[in-house]
Amino acid sequence: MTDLAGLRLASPVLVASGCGGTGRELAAYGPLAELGGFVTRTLTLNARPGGPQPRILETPSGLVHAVGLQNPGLEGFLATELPWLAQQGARIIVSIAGSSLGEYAELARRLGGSPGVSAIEVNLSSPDAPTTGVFDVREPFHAASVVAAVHRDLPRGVPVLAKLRADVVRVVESARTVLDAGAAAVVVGNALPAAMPDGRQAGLSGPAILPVALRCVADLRAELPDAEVVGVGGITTAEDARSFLAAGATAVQIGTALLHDPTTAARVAAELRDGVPLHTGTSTSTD
Amino acid sequence: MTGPLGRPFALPKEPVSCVLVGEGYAAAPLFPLAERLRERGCTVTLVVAGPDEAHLLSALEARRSARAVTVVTEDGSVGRRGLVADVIAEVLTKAAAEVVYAAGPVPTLHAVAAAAEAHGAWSQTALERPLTCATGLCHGCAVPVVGEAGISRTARACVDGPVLRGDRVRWTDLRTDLSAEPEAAR
Repeated sequence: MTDLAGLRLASPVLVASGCGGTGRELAAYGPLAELGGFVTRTLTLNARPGGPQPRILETPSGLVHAVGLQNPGLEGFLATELPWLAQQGARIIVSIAGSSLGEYAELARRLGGSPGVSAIEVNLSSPDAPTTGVFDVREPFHAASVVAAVHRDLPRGVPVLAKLRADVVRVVESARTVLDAGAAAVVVGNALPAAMPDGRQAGLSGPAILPVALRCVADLRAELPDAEVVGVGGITTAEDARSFLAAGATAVQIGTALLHDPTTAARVAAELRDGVPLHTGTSTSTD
Repeated sequence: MTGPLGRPFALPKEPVSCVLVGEGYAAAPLFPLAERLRERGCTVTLVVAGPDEAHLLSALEARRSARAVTVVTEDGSVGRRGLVADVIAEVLTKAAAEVVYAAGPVPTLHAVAAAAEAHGAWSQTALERPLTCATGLCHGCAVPVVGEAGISRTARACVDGPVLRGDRVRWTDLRTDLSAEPEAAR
């Protein structure tokens, strides 16, 4: 059991936003309830069709992606996805982004009152934010105003997780600001800002960014020892997850690895739970 | 190893007249499909197309699995010279087609879907899109479609397809989207 932001989780391993489909696709490879949580892809108030092709390309040890926040919108999610997720007994954390503070507040109000929603993860670090029209939160001051707006409109007991960029230079300042504004924990980090070969704004994810995210977690532990931190970035094995936990993360999220092997989250969760020694079992950590 | 993934060609319940259109290497799955359809008593008509004879899948094998075969090449090196779009309406009429199956590049699928609609036949099109995860997790293989109740939405080629009903795909939007892709990704 893992305690995060006042929630008791079945495992310290969660599914990262945008890498678990609607949940149904991932559930084919293992029960979602056995994971620490399922973070939805980022929802916006209105449905978004997403960006043009190509959306995702492989890079050495990673993926560069510009999906453009494709999602069914709040109504579509509440009608077609949330009830099914809740039935699975999964700990549901809804990722949100808005084009204004008012949109963030409305998302918080509607989702906070929906049965089955355990927490809200505010996506403050969409790597292609300027092209997707979401509220620009590059400055910690703006991030704080978003977190405050969401926190104010959520019922007690539904914590706000703030997802930050793995920007080693600014992550401590950003985390301090959003925690002061009401975030119960910080999630670090989102995809690093990158570009598609044609120059479009994109994010870089996967094992390529793991050491950067790990450095952010370690810096947060050193500078803000009381902060609850969720580590995310390129985790593919239980050994990777242990590195983040040892650096001070309370929990970890697994993202890009699921696109290569959809059993990764279940496998890492089982390995952490059962304490299988490193380099044994079904782990691919010796790859 | 994970599979099978996605949705395959749907088979008709009744023994109906089927036209199968394949262009280039994408024609390969149509041969086993033709076998399945014949087992169900369907009449199978094949259209096999390619840029030239060297890029055409076996016309001989096609003749074994279908009642009638039309071969089309862009350079006219074998069969009729031209594109699938030039011959499809005539083939559908001659076969009195009720169901059309197609696999090939998007412009060909678009032409087949449009001809099927004009002819009053159902069409099933197998889309080839770059798939990142192939399991529905990443939303990388978006296909613009018209959903139930006529609402525009975005399907995923990997889990909702790769076979989609030809009258559901928003072909013009898909082709606009593809025109922005670098050549290598097409």
